[in-house]
Amino acid sequence: MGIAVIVALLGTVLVAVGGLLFLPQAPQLPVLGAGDWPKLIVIYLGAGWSLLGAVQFLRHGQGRPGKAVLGLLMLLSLAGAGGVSWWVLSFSYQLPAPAQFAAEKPIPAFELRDQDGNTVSDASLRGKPVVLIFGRGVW
Amino acid sequence: MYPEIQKAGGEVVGFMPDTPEDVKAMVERTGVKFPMLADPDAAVAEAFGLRHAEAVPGKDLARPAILFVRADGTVAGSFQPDNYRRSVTPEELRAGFAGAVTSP
Repeated sequence: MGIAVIVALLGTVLVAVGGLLFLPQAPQLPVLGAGDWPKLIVIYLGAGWSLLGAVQFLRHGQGRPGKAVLGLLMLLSLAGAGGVSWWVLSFSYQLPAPAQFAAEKPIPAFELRDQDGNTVSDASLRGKPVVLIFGRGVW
Repeated sequence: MYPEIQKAGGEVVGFMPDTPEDVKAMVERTGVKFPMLADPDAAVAEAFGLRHAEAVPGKDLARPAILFVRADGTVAGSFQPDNYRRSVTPEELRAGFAGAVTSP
């Protein structure tokens, strides 16, 4: 019984801590950095614990006030985790500022191989208008 | 769009910040007809000013962009969305390519 309450409380605290760690970058998060994943894990772990503890207490626990409080904590944790997810997802699509190209300057020199092993370079593309498409690739 | 650009005497080239194997697999999967170049370390994207640092934790990628380059190698225009979800429309592609054809 007591364990369920502790787990639920601890879960809520974890969500709160994870959320607070994100707060300094809250106005904008251009992309998720490597240091952000542990925070996300803490938040989701916390939400999971909170859910687990609250459900256990609601099923086996005694006393209405306790149930109400734990239920509320669970909702708060889930809302926190959901809010952070939404925030991360909506901002991680933001891209850096566009590159500028001087009107009179040719494109930089390059030489790469295509899917068939043919070499393509800036020089080999001279003489006709070209559309260059940069993709983010697969990852 | 690719046949239309080819018919107008133009060429389309893609760049992917991936290994040649990944590029080959991607081309086979999507049926891309134009040359797709492997730019494993996004070094060429960097030279173009299109590197997107730490786009994915631990991995730099290219910023999605389309450049319209004239026959003399200068850039006539570009399409650079501020969001991954935004993709180019056929009209924008047509207009951008036309800009690279007509200008000196």
